[in-house]
Amino acid sequence: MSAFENVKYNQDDEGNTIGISYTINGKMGSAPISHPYYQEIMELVEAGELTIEPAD
Amino acid sequence: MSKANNIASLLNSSGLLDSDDIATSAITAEKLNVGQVGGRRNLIINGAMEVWQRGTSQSVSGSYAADRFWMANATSAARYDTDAPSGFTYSTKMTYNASDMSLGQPIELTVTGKQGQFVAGSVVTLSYYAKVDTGTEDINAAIYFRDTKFSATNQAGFSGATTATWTTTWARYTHSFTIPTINSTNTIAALEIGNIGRTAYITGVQLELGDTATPFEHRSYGEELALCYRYYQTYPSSSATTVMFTGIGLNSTSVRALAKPFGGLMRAIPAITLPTSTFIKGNGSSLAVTSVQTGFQVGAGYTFVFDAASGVSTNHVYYITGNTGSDALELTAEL
Repeated sequence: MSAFENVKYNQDDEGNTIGISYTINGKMGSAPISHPYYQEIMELVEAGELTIEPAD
Repeated sequence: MSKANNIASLLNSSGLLDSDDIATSAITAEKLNVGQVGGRRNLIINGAMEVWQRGTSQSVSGSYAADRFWMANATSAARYDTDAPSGFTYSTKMTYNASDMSLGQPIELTVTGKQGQFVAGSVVTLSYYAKVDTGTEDINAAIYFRDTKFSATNQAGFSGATTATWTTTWARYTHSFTIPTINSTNTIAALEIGNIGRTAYITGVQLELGDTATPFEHRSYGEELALCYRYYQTYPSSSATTVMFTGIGLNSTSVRALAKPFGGLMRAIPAITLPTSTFIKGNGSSLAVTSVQTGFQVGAGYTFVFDAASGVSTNHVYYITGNTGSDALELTAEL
């Protein structure tokens, strides 16, 4: 089971995806697309273990 | 023999310095390891295991223990320990639990896919002090150019003597490696010391250019801490009024706050992890934070948008705080 929950894309003012917000081990956080957390989340998505909500 | 005679002995029949004598006997790496001329050799950060920003005792698997050192392959534990060889104060104690452990450090390359100081075909030497609590242990040390620290995709391995046998007595171990040609996507030189199948201690980790392990280069705690800040910083929130960041209301649910890391800009825009309880306070309000969005770099700091369910007033000033006894806010830009 993934440690990431409540995963949602983050966008800048122009609508570009810049990162992702999430809850990990009960703590809220966010990471830019260059960060290892983002890559880790994408691997979980590809494995079908996680889904990402669109940005607000 | 006088110094004048010593110098004279280095001159050949033409009265010139004989470079062969200098290279083979008169000057050695050991002799050069004095003062500033011998400094800045260690490519490893926190090699003496002195900086533990995440806490000095942790259960770790694929994450960091002592700053800059990750552990993997096990539900193992790592903590700082005062059992250390002569010349050191601390070591990392790795407590074995069911499967082999690894410890390593990703060394940041200046530019992705560029050799930089790691010139292909030249030699680097790894050295460290280690011991185990019982018996002996055959370990394996390796270095790879990699895209990320745990992925073998596009990796290029350094070749050399990789094995050693640790005993119950502190000893210094050395491994020399020949540097390979880097791949265009590689971002790090990943050091790994693995196959550790029993509780072990390690400190004094040094990686340097050349084929000789020179004495460990001790840097001050302040220098090591500053080097670690590039990758990880933490903001303790010891009370409900600790001001971690200040910001301004964007709309009824969001505050944009500026984080100006005390350790300076980090390697990249950091991931942020909030304390278990985090609040937006000010303008007579105390609002629970419901999410935090990805940051932007602004000058010498970063801005993050903190969201609440409601109650934020546009253009009013707020501050971000934790709670009494709460855990710390973390900024992470590890490789």
